[in-house]
Amino acid sequence: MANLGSFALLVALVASLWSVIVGVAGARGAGEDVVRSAEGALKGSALALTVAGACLFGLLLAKDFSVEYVTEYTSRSLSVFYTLGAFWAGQAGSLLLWGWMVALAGALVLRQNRDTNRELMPWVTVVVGITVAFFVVLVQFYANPFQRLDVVPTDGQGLNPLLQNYGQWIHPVTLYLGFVGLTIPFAFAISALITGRLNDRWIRLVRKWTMWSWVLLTAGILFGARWAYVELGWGGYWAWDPVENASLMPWLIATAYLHSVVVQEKRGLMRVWNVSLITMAFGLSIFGTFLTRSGIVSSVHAFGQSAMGPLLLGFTAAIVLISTALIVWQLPDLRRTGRFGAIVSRESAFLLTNVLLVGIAAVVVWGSIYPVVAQAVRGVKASVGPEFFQAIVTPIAVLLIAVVGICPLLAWRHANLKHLRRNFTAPVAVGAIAFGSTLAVSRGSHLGVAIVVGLGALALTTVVEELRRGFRARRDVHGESRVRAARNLFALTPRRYGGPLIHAGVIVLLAGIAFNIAYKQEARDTVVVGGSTKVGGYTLTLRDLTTEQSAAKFAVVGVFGIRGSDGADLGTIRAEQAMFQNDQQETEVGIRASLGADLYVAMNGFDLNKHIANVDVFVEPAILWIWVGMGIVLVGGVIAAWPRRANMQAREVLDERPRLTKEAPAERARQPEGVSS
Amino acid sequence: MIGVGMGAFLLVLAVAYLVGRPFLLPAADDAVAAQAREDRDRVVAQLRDLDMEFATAKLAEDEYRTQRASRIAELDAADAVIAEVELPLDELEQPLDDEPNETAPESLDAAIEERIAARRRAMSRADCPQCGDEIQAGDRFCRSCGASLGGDEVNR
Repeated sequence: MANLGSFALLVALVASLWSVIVGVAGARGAGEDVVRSAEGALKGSALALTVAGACLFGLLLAKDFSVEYVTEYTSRSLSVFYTLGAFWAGQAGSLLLWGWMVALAGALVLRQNRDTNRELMPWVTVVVGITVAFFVVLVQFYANPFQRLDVVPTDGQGLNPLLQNYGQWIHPVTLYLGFVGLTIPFAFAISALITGRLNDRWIRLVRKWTMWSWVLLTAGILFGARWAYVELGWGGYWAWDPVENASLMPWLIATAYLHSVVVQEKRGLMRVWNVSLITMAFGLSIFGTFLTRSGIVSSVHAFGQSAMGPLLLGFTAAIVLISTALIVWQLPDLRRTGRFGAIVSRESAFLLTNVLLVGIAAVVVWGSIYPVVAQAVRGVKASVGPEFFQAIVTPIAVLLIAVVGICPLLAWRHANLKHLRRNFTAPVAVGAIAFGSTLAVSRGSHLGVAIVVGLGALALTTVVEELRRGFRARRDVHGESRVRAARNLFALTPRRYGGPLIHAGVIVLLAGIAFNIAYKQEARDTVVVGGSTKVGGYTLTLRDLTTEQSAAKFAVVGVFGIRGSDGADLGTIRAEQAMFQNDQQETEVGIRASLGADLYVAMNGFDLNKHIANVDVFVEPAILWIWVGMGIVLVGGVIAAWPRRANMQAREVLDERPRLTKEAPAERARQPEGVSS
Repeated sequence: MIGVGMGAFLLVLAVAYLVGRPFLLPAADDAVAAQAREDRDRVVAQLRDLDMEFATAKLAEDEYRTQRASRIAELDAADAVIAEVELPLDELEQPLDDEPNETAPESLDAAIEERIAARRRAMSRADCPQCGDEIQAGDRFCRSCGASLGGDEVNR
């Protein structure tokens, strides 16, 4: 099976190179059959990589320890669930997954456009083909998962216990899929630049692709944060680790892009900006891979030293240089005569959002590469701690909440200030009350939290108002029942109303983070069985220290009884320290979650003879808010990204439409608010 | 070993088929109608979005009128293409089923080819006199700047 896998990789390499070379010929006018052949080759590479992927799954499942990769990441005792998940546990498998998914995405986009947008497809095929070929080269020559061992061991080394979490099936896969998804809009952008078809068609074509990539990236990042929280035992969810940052950089840029394309679609503006953003998002996803896999920065996600660094850096450089050259070449056509709206207008708010998001991204990029730059330029080892990121990112994030609160109230081109004032009254009042009461309850100790809560409440009010106005408009214009109106709001205008949901989720999430940072408490203590330790109003008593032995591991389990500040019994928490057969250790954290605060117990050491345990105890406020916010964001994202129904009937939009003043002067009073006539 | 060999052989065969087929069997050309249908779906979605935008006071009325008119024009253009490419085919196929005719399919094909070619010529690039952006035949308003291109204002 390993031989078949290796062979399939070779076929994939040949096919993807064919799609590039023949694709260029086709794009330069060699004829439709040549273009189709290049497309067939890309589909062929997807097929070959599917065979390669199936082979690796098969080898893992069969626990064929003659294959190095299988030996390194599985063992006889590993469950089927994690054995299959070991596919992407290492460098070689995860790169294979990446290449495979790019090829599948390419095949899917070719299928979607088999009869449409033919003028763009040749170059799309070429760009996707290059990306596939690049990853296949990495897998084939730098990290081959089908590499055989000279001596076949009797058992494998087993999967790192930290990776034995259900997150192994979500976090890496969704992140890779998100990165992969960015390839498609990038390919269309390049194709639009080369062919000179620079209107907003390419943007509309890849809208769902971008949205899905964003949803998957978001899911990947947030599930990663949750995984770190429940598994790593240091009581946090985000450490501004270079690899975490590597996923955040393309996410921030993709988020900016999702907003700025709206301006291009509605007003035809920001065309240079949009092609630049999508290039940056894709480039950063590859650059992030370079940071992660070259061994150049140290991180929890260390993949170890590898020779593929220069290749990844070279690919990033090529993406940036070629795209920049194309943008400069097309600059006269990209520049538009369109006028930007007034300073208080919707497009200005979108622009501000973009500046803020790109600003955060720039900070994250600089903070992540600074240690490398400092090492190279000044020869000193420097490190950038979380304080640096927090200090700069926090105020920008607060500004972003404010923009989220204001933007929905603004109209395109120029906001009507009179109506703006009226529409602002309620949100500002709610925000002020929230700000004041938070400040009062906290006795003025955490101004920052009060600001976040105040602005968050303001923004949430406008989000609710936005949904309510849309709901009412559907009822008024189309005469729909309440249930129908609520459903159609999301089903027929998914992005318009998925967006506010995402915003609501982000606000809940950011408020959770603000509370968590401000009110987090921690204690480190050594406790004897029967003794107790206190943190943040909770009393933890070590009731028992026992051992558990199973085939895979030996575990020491501490059972802690919890009492609240009022002495109420709040149940027990189990914290565990496990040793696996291959001498790897793992701390299994005990968490008692609640809406107010999580109690988080990590047992980092013990002495079974003396019946004592070393514990780190954290009181983690509002952690649940972060996960709830994450859920809302993902629901909103999926709504916004959900495929549009094909062949929609046009009757509704043609026969029923909002009333115009000129047609129905008697109806003037019912005219929607804020329309300047 | 034999299994691996067979698998490898089948894979090569399948990829060779995907790569070689376009040269041997040119794909049926449905591009014009398919493009028009996709355009139509897109414009309907845009119109729907535009209506919500106006109904929730995100757009001034004059702006809304201009944009809606140009979308309707796009919709008409797409409808015209769909009607030209698809309807004659349906109508003409009816008698063919009843009385088989050796010469008819060829002339039918030729007629369709002619229509498609005409549509393609019509859809070749032209520029808006006001903003210089690409426009298509049948557009009554520019898709970018909304400038009237000489047709009557649409009121539906």
